[in-house]
Amino acid sequence: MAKIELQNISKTYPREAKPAVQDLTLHIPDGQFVVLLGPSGCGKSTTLRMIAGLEEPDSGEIKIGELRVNGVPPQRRDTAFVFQNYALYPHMTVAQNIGFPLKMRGLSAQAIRQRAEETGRVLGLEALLDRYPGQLSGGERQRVALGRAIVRDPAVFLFDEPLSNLDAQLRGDMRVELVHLQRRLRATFVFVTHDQVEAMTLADVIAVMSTGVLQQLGTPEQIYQQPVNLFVAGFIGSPRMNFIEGNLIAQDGMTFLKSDLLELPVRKCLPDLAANPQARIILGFRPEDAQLTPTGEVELKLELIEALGSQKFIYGRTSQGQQLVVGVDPKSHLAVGDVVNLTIPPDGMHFFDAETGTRLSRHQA
Amino acid sequence: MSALTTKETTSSTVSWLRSPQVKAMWLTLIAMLAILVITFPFVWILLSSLRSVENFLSLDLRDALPRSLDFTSYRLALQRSDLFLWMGNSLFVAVLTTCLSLLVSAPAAFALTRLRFRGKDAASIILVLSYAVPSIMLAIPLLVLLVKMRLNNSFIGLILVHATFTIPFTSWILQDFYRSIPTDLEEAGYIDGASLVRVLWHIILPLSIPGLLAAGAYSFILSWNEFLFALILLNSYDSFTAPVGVHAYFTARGADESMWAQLMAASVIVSLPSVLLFAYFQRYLIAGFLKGAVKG
Repeated sequence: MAKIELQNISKTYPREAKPAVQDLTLHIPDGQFVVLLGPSGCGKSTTLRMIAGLEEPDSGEIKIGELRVNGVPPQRRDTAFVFQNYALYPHMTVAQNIGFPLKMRGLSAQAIRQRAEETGRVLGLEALLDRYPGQLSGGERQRVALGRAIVRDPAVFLFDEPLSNLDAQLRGDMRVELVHLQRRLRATFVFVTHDQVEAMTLADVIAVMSTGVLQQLGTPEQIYQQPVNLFVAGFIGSPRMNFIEGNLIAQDGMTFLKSDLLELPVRKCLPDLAANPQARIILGFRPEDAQLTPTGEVELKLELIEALGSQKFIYGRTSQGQQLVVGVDPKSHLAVGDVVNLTIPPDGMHFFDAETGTRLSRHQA
Repeated sequence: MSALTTKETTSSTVSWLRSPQVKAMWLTLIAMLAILVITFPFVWILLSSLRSVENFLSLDLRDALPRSLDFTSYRLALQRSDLFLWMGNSLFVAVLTTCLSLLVSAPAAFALTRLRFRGKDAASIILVLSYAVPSIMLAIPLLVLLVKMRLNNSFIGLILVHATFTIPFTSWILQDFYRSIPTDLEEAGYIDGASLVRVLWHIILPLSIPGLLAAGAYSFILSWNEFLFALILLNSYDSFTAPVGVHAYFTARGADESMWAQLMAASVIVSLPSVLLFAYFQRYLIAGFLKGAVKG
């Protein structure tokens, strides 16, 4: 059990122009399930590998517990790492794979076998202990990889997209198991993924990364409800948040968002924003936050309907051509070509600076 | 109408020529031709060694195929020359050369594929280039060097010389082999608490056995068949390797018909270990080559 502290970490790979990780500061408290989330190439895996000691940062400090681990080789960092492709030793049986870390610590063959059997029982692998990885299914291999990680009771568990090679059903099951495992072990888990559903369901805290830079650190709710910038707002949520770029204009005691494609009343908007009609801003709202009402200010002609069973999304265009996505009651009867009116409640509105992409504080209703 | 028919016929002829079956037939034909050219000398040696001594130099093609299996030449070759002694020498040299090559190239190839160090690229290039230098160019310098080290006319000298070309070759094969082992496995080893040496011993080594077998078989065959350096370095009759011994024994005597037949028989006997080794390790050897071809 240990906390992890990353202080101003930077890393550029040899022969690469852009840094993989840039001035990253991240404090992960003991016993938390932290997910590093971002698109491929955002530096999340590099960060994880630096914690494990598989890569060294160019600058900055990494601490596991109270110990500064810069320059400490991976074998002495007391981390467990679950690889995307499991990295099971193909020439060893399941029991030997699980027991390998113990063997490296010099435990007796008997003790190793006993611990491997215990771990196998916990993960439902009892019957497979003498098989080789080549004889196992994807899900079973994943369990063996987990077994190899938990058998030695490390300070920190690191996961590099471990579920991405599993089919959807199994991925869902493994997510639940991982959460249970973390609760039971009360260990520090750092989990890398590009899958926001995984991140939202697993994490105590999500760290969203892009182009080597930490964008936002927060609980899944915070990340979803109050994205700090356009990247986070667009990256989290599916279908993604609607964005409308325009100027805020005060007129007849009302504030309007005026874009080329839409004119939208924005009730009681931030006065300092409305005061400056030159400032370009971006209004964002999530598909499920918009509501269909006969008196809605925005008219939308439906072009596509996506029925997902528990959810239904309609894709359409305003008369001026602005494309929008809206979540509707899954039982509603709508057809392509219908025209609906929608309203965006004030507390569903997010404002961003069009130039910098940063959040302009949440609209207060 | 008739023009149309002609056109159709032509196009169907062309497409028939291009059909996969016909292509396969051509390729098979070419392959068989190539095999014929390559194997002809060996087949000829084999057939000649079984001919009766009386009509050995007969140009009558009917004599080419032995009428009955006549092992006289084999018996004579084994009785009169010290073929077994020379093959023993060859075996000693080839086995030690192979051990030395693997001992050096297995870790070297690993370092060159996996570790990060200064001068790595240069080392890789030098290794390949050293293999590309024709051995005749190295013969005199190596001889001078060995004389100075008093290692001429010794097996140790010959083994070291053989290692100069087997090590680059086996390193090259093993580098490609190591590249096929996922880096994750090594990293998993480090994470699990193993040092570099233990990762090599517990993970890389067991996974490289096919590669080591391929590289070992190659280096054995290279050393076993090597003639030039063995001829230059070894000058006592008792220390000859098989190719040198066969050459020395049979060229020292008159080239009469019975000698030629014995030479052929001796050649067959000497090449037997290479052939058997190749036959046995064939799948590893081809896999080793394919790796080089596809990824190298």
